[in-house]
Amino acid sequence: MDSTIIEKLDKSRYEAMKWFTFGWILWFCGFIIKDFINNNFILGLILLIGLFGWVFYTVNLIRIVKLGKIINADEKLRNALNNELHQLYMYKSVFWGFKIVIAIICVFLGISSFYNISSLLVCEITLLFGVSSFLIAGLVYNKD
Amino acid sequence: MGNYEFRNQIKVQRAMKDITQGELAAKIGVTRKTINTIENGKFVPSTVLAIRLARFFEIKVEELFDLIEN
Repeated sequence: MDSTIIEKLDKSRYEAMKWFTFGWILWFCGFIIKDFINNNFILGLILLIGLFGWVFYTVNLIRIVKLGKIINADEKLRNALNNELHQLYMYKSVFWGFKIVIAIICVFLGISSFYNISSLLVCEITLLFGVSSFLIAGLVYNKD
Repeated sequence: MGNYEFRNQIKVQRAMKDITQGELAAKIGVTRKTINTIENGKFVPSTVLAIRLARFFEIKVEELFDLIEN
């Protein structure tokens, strides 16, 4: 097997994941914040940034799916790219996401003793932090 | 249980065979990153991967990897 193909695909996958994460955070932050803004100019700006993030998210999601198809078509390539180190890093990243979700829930439980919080907001923020921490941990672990 | 240090001879064996980390990775069927992390002692490979590496270098697993008690 050619080492350059493995490295090229590994780098492409990392880059796609990086911009996917960037897009996801921008888009979802904008999605949450927009409900709290009354000023039309700031709201427009946030929606624009959110749209920008959504474009990054969608384009890179398509890139990841296309790369996945290329990788899955060749068993040797798939095994090389999804080797035991990659799997270990993925488990570690999922564990980070899980720890963050538990921490966020604990924080909201504490806050709820003093204030009333919308359940939708709790879900949105937990989802944002949970998914983002999983993605960021994956990027940090897989960094060269 | 005491403290153990996991050492390996991959760098030496690679030098003897005159191959790069990328070339070794392709022969074994992993990424260069995996070979790099094993070589630097950041990642302890599975038994399967350890045997595959040892077979590639045509030496015993315990010659390639060693556990030193501190």
